[in-house]
Amino acid sequence: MSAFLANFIIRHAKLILIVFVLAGALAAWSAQQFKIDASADTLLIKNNKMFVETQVVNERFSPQEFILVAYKPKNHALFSQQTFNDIQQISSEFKALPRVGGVTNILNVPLLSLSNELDPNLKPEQLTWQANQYSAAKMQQVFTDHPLFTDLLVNQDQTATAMQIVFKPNKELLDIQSQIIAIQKGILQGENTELSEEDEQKIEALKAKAQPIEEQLKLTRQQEIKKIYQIIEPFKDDADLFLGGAYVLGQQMIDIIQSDLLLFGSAIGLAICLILFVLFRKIRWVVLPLLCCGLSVLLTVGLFGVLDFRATVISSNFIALQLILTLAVVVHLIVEFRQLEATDTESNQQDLLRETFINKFKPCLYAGITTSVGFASLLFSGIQPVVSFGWMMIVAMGVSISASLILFPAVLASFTRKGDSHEGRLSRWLVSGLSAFSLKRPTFIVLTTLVIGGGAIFGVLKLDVENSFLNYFKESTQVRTELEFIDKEFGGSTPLDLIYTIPKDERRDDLVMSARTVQTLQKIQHVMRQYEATGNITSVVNFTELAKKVNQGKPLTEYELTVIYKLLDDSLTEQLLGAYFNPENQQLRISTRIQDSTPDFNRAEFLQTLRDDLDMLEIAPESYSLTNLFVLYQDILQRLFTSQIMTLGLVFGALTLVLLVIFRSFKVAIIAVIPNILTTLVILGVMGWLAIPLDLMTITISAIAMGIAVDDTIHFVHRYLEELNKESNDSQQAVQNTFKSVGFALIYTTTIIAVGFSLLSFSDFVPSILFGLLTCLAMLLAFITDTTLLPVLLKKFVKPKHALADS
Amino acid sequence: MRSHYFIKMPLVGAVLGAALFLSACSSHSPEQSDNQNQGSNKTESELVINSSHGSQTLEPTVVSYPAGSSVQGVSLSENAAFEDPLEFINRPIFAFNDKLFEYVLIPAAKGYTKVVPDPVRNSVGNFFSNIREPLNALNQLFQGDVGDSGKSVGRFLINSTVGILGFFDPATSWFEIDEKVSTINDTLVNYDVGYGSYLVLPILGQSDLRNGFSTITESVFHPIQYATENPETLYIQAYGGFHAFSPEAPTYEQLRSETDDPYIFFRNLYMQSMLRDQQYPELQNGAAVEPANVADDASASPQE
Repeated sequence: MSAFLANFIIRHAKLILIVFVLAGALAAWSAQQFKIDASADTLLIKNNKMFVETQVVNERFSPQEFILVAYKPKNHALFSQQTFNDIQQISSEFKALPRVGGVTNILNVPLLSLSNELDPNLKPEQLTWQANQYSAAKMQQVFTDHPLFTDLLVNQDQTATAMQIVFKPNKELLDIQSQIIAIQKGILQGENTELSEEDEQKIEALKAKAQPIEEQLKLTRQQEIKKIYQIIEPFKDDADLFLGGAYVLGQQMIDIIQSDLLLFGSAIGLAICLILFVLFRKIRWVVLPLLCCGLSVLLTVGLFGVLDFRATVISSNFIALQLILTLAVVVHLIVEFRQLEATDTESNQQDLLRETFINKFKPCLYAGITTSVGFASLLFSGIQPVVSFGWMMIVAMGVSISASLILFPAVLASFTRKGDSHEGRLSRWLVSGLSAFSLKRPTFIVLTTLVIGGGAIFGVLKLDVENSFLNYFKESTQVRTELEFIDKEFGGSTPLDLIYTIPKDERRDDLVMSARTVQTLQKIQHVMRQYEATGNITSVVNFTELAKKVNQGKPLTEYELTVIYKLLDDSLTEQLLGAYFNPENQQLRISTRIQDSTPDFNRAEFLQTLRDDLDMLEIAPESYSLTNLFVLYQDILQRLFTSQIMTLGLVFGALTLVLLVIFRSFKVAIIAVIPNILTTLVILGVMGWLAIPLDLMTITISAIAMGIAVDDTIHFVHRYLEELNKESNDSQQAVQNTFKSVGFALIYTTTIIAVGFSLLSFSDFVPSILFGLLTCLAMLLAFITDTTLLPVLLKKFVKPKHALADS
Repeated sequence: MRSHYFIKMPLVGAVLGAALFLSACSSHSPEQSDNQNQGSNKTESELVINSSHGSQTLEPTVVSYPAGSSVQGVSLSENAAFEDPLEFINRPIFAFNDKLFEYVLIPAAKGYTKVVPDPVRNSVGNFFSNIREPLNALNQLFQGDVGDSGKSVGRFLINSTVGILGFFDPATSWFEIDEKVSTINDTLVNYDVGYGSYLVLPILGQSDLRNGFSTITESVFHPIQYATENPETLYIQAYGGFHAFSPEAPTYEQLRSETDDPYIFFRNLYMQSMLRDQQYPELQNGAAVEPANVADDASASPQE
């Protein structure tokens, strides 16, 4: 079979190359359809109860999309005419942006506390700085410990003020979304947690309708942020200006990922070229791997474009992974070819290629299959983005394996034999050293493995799941400084909502809400305020606090509250309270943002404490729900953690099964799976010991480590078994021979990838750094276990068949 | 002259919060004589919060003083803050007032506010405020508040002369002496006299026995009595009440229309505010808060 394929490829090399060129062109065209969606939304599980609940709540309370711009004077007082002038001017420029609905700042908010009575005929616009030009001193007095605006418009220390740019929602999109929500609401009621086929289709159709609008919106947002930076630029002489808020954070993340992709993509590419050249000292051994890698990625991306697979934050590493796996295949082929070239001085290029292909076809295919199986296990995670990552990797593997296996002989067939190639001195020394070491020190190796494995298990137990978007940016960066300033001084980043449904017995027909309800809310808010991690907290309570302040420190009665609510202008109540109180559903919303910069913050524990505290306040679990991004991220992280870490057993089970099919021996299958388990365990253990939390970016590392490790294992085991089958060999000889052939390929791939990816440690984006270093570590670990433990186990347990027959 | 507060009471009592005559009083301690309030007041005065932060207390921003028998059928008697023993007589009077408002006073008030320009109504308000300054001064004196009493006398002298018979308020605008209304009711509260019971007065609206007594007595000893003869006095007093009521007419109408049982609503509104003011007395002579402002704004607000 492999011989037939080899002949076919070599005979029709030109034709195949033409086909690849065409396919490449086609792929390049369809690659334009491919979308990278780095926004965190893609992670949110569709049709998940919590997700739908958040959607419903968001629709009900319609919180607005906003960006915060903080203004921190350098040499003048915060409350001064210069500040007022600057704020005035910046705000009016913001206001001119088309999608901006309004800019809230200290100059245009109604300073209700300046009125010394609660007058229903209040004209809020009359109580602003803009209307009255209050003195700086008066402004300072108003904003000191203001129930609504402290932490929102002025920080506690009064060193900076924020402008809140509020964007108009897109009506069309809103409409489509509410249609989708209306359908999805179905899962919230009743037992059936699944949507019907028909509903799914309706949702799909609606989503397709929404998509172009969303794309457009995304572009607009990018431009808006750029524009905002332009607007604030001239003011930077006198003040520090910072942008913040959940959605700037998202944009910064996309920007940094994109620039990283370009910078480090080319740096890694260059490094790989360099190392390839140093190792093989021939241009063709540089060009060929690059060609295979480039074409594989191009074809894959093109295919994804056609299949409408989208890269998410989780799957954004697929290109890097595909590079690694393709390189591995090509390097194995190169090494094999060169060795044949060295030993066989007679054959011509075509014969050498044929033999290389025949020798390497099976192990490469097997490696591809096992890696795919590893990734296929992701399909059972039940989490949409992880499932699609699984599919993407399976497709990518298929493309890589076939592209490299076909391209390698096809390209080389057109060349004539050049001859003269031998491995470098250093690698020869390393190979013989390793081979000798594994043969002479089996006990030491096994013992060390056991110790390290045990240590790793302890490390795994210490593993934590924590996702702080802020921590994605390196501490020294400007972006981090800006975002952290807003996070710390202006009330946090990741939104968390507590929705309190007023219990039936607390509802009163004649009151807008009873005193008991407000007091309950006040208690909850009081408890929430004391957590270290909660930033700004707003709800109806803040308004009653303000009312109390205006009322000379006396609480309102529930009837007074009702009168105010009824008498205030409807649009004003909507503006003030719409986001916090929904009369139809008798629901109240406490809105907070979690400060991502809180040191040593344990998010899962925080949620548990909050729930426990609510329990102590005797608030029934069914009368409140926690929603919004914070909970959603936490939920998906927990699920990812469970699916990734807890189903590792499943992955290794499947892997063992495939190995069993490939090698047709229980013993070999078990032995071959051990280095993979070890590599994965140690990677996770190292993360545990170093307290690197698993977050949305690092959570796929176990799958990656395994994908890398299995490659090395297959090649090694396959060659070992082949060597073993040769008449003259005993197991020691087989190990030595395996080292001499596959050993070089392992060293080369490890060097290339480890060096290449370690470059990522210079990135400003922490997940990239971690990804680079952990991948590097995974490569090294896989290499070490496959060249020490694996040969020891093979030698010990897998004896040559003829030897067995003899005895 | 006091009368206008009565009409206003149901209307803006809540809206103006502390503003009204009860709050303007200088009583330092909650009502002692009113035992039935004590229990509930105590439980309401602080919220106890048990959480992972330990046990803490917090002053509520919104409070409630439930009625003894709720028309809605929910028995709240175990912590009832007030009873309404005179309901049998209050209800018919309320119904009468309601019709009177609907067909006479509200239409008239609307016309009045429409026809009479703001500056004029402002001056009228000033006039009525000024003319009761002697009453304020007397009450403040009885409450032992000599300083405030002197201020009220000063205001009266300034506004009656420089302010042209009280039509303008130079005492506030030039001399920065703010008005501080004080009534017999405040004085009674100061001497720990209980409110007795909820009471609806014909035409004048929501009140209680103590406040009702205050109103009647004040109208008898009102300075206007010494300046004019009946029936002019009566006309002037009636006009004063009507003047104070007029800007609030739409408010009454709106609240009335959104309520199933307006009697209960306005009663609870009145009683809760009254009991709240008893429980949270004004910060007297506080450095930061000037209670005088409150009273000032209360009486001035209808004109604004």
